[in-house]
Amino acid sequence: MTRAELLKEVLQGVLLIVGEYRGSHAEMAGYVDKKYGTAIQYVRAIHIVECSWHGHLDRVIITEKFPETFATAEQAAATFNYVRGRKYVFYIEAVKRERGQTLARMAGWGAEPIEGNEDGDGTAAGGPAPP
Amino acid sequence: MTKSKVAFLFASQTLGKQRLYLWTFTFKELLSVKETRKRWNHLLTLLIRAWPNLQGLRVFELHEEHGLHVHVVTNQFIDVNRARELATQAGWGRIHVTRMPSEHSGYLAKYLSKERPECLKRWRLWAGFGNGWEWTKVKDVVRETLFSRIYRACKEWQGWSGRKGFFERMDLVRRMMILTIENGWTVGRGPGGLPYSAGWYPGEETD
Repeated sequence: MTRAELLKEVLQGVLLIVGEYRGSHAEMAGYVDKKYGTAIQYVRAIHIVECSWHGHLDRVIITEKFPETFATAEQAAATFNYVRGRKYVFYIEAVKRERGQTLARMAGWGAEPIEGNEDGDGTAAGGPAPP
Repeated sequence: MTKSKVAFLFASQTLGKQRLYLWTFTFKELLSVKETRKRWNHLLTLLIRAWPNLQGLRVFELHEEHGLHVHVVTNQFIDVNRARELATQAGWGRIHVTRMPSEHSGYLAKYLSKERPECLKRWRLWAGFGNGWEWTKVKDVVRETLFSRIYRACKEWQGWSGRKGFFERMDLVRRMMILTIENGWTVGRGPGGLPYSAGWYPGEETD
């Protein structure tokens, strides 16, 4: 995604988070019924993204739920093609702030890298990183 | 998904082993939620008295325009005309009933996904009723996630017991979870696969 495309999305009011990708974890999450031993399981991923929040750097926890066609965490992990330190646009369907921690849920559109920010440290075209 | 909703899904699975019927109870007039709850308790008492083997689950739904509705899944067919009489006696208006395939038993969980209105704070949005079956309760649900696994490791490390300092615990576990993901640690372990108790503390880490 180019900066112009990103600006267009922002001006259209699309809910998104721009941040530096820090890592991901895919897991089989679920619930077990202690009474009857039944379980509900689903595959999800947690992405950690560093972005600016009210003037300081903060980690945002973004969760991504996978469809039922994903049976294992490994299948989900195989879809991660993010580069650590690079800036991405994460499309979001929900966001909340809980006790100083920003939590978000990724929308079906996923995430896209921002062109011109390949190194993620602000030295790429576009100028230095904010202080 | 909240634990309450999960407990409801488990309970509906248990009930779904039987033949199910879906009921909706509404009013002609718009009533306060407190009055609706009172009338539901009255109606349920009458229903259980008339059909002692009746088992089911009820869900409250605050409709945007029509006040509080009660949706009920029951395990047996009950005479609708008799049920209408009892509903009228308890001050209810319309009743709608339909057969429900057991695989749809969790259908009512959709009403538990809605954001809880202020007036229903601390209410039980769903509940089971009837003798002879035990529905899953929130305390019976165990969550298995990265967060819960790290929480258990932190609990062992810090020797937590009771509920003291709950929010501080949550903050610590969250920080540990972020560090685990960022540094690719083994879940529930610190740097180099060492246990948290090995003398390393969050905050000392630099990246």
